[in-house]
Amino acid sequence: MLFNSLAFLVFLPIVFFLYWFVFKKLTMQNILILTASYVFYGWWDWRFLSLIILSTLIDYSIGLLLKKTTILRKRRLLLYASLLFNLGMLGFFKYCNFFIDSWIEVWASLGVTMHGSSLNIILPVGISFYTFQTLSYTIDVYKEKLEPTKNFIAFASFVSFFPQLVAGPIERATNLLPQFYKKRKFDYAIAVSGMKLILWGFVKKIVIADSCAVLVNKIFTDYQNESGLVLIMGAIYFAFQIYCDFSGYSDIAIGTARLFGFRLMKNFNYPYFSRDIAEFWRRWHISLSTWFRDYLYIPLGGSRVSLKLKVRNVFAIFLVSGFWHGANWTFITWGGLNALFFLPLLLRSKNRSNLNEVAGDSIFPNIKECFQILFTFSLTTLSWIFFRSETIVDALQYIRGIFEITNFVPDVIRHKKAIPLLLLFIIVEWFSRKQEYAIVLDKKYRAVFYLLFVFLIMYYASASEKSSFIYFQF
Amino acid sequence: MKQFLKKTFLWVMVFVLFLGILNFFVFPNNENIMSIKNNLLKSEKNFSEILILGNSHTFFGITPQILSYKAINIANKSRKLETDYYILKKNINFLKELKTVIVPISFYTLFANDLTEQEKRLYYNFFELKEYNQGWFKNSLLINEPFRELLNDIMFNNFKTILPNFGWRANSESYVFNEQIIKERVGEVDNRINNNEKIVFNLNILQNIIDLCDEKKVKLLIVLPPYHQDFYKYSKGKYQRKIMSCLNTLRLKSSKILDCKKLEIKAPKYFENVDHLNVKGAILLTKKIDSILRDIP
Repeated sequence: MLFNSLAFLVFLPIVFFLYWFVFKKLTMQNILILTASYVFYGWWDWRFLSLIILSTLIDYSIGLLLKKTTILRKRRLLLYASLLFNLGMLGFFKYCNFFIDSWIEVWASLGVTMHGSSLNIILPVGISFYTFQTLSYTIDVYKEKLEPTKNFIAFASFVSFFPQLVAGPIERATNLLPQFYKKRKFDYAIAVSGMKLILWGFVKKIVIADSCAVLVNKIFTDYQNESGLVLIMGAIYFAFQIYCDFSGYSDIAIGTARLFGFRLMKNFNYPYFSRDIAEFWRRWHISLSTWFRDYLYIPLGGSRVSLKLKVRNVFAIFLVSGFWHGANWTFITWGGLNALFFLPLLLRSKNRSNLNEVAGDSIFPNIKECFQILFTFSLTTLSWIFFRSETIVDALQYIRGIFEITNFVPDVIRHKKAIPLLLLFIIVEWFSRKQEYAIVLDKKYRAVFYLLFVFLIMYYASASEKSSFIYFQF
Repeated sequence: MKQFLKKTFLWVMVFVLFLGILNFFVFPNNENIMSIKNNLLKSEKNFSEILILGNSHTFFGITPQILSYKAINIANKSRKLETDYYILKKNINFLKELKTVIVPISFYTLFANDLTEQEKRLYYNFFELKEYNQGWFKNSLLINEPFRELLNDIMFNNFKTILPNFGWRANSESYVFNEQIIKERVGEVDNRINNNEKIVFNLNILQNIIDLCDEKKVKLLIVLPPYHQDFYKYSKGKYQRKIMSCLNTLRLKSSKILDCKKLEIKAPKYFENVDHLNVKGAILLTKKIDSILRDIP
């Protein structure tokens, strides 16, 4: 089920009503959440519910078995079993065709023709998200950071919690699971903040991201016939499309969870106001970055190792992050580029130099900060070209097209609606950057803005081109 | 919780009220070709002597300013004969000076399919045809039409500027031969021509129009619009024969049939495409119709 669908508009109030008014006991509320989550997921394709249920059963059992044994060898075996199952499932559904195709291409480059055909595998929605969520549970239990749960319903609800099931935030068991043990109390302030987050999430997704998507699709499809300036605009539009699409989803997810008394982690923190790449990665897809930091980067030694290993670790985390996004060399290149951008900061120990708030108490950033923000945005936008392109060749040709000055003609008419929209969005985000979410408005005029937002959502939602969330494919 | 529900309810009510105002008071007053033609009909009711009904063939093909009589063109693209009948029935008593009604009978009109829910909704809202009342849910523009288009009609409407000539508008492009398009057009008609049930239904509607005009002592001119030579060639004239044989089953009373094939409008410069006249063609056809109207006693 999509958040931006009529089905969800009906689904959410029904679940909300049943949750707070009919099923008042904790167990019953958890059962309701579990059922609602399965309905939410099964709305897309009920057959793939079996994968979630299987993953839930295996990690639940491994958690209990880990508690029963203190023998290290056995505990390791159990951890490996969980890793093998979860990553094996992810590998099969997400990467099988990539490996087959790449294998054939490698041999073809050596002049050997191999015959093989890709399998017709459907990628189950959200598999990368819930796999990482269950893995975090097993690893934390293995590391004895978390007590394994005996409460199957709570665990199954944690794995499949519908607001964040298909596109995150990827919650840690240490944060989300305990919330299923305790009776939730309705909190007016939290519920209101949830509603505001949902509203702002829809504005980001429907008004900004979907408007940019129309232009991005045209420009990236026909990039060979576009001028350099339009190609730059196309890359910028995509930067905002992916940000508003994904952070919009996260806002709706976090807001929806709040309506049920749950607190999910923040996933985006105004990333395009970052002054360097390290700061960008502290603000972008926080739940995934910290997952990789905690379960990959630190176990590999992090930054407290030799120079050689430091470089290896940085590349490992970024390349794996790229690969996590999809089975395509474009994503891996995107990860590699970010590693290259990040490495100089790490090697000069400057990766934590921008921990304070940008512009501090000033209204506007100073010249140095402006330059830093623009430079960081340019680097991330450059890497987004690889992320968006179909192939690496396309990405390289796209970049080459940008520098063909002879064709540097502005095409303003096509962008007359998008540019003001983006500028307005940047202004709103800038003045909200110290707040938890963007639309904390003054009581006097907020009613007008809320109505305006709903109005804009309706206006843009009725466009002929409907789009799903980008991160569903991951 | 009470406070939350109360406030949520209040917000929802404010928004529902706002949408209600849009649905019942704003959107039905949107300007589009239908509402403009309906307003034209109202504003000219005391003066119009000739009423041009029909679909795109007459919308583009007959220009009122050239006629010797005061005329208005309220034809619209893809209009069905049934809708023409309801429009005429609703307005004939108010058109005090009305002398002649022009209705086109083409392969489209006679072999047309049923009206869609959307057509009914638009004619209900913008032409005030009560016969197309489908209940509030299906009548609602807000619920059934794209919100964006409804708002664009309010904010960016410019139909007034393109329909200044008593409801007439035509393009000035000239005909370019395209075999594929002709074959598609002919193929469309081929699919419809054997739907006898529909043909009988439309003939009954036409008979109602004839009877209504006869009863109100208004002349009726049934026009078979002109097509480009290529259309006659590719269709081998079978639709014209079919239409004529159908019309022969009617009790025509005082109404007249004008087969524009006989008017010798042949040159490609008069056509926009294979079955529609352009500006030059419309002027020529209107002049010929005008001379015919002057000859009718």
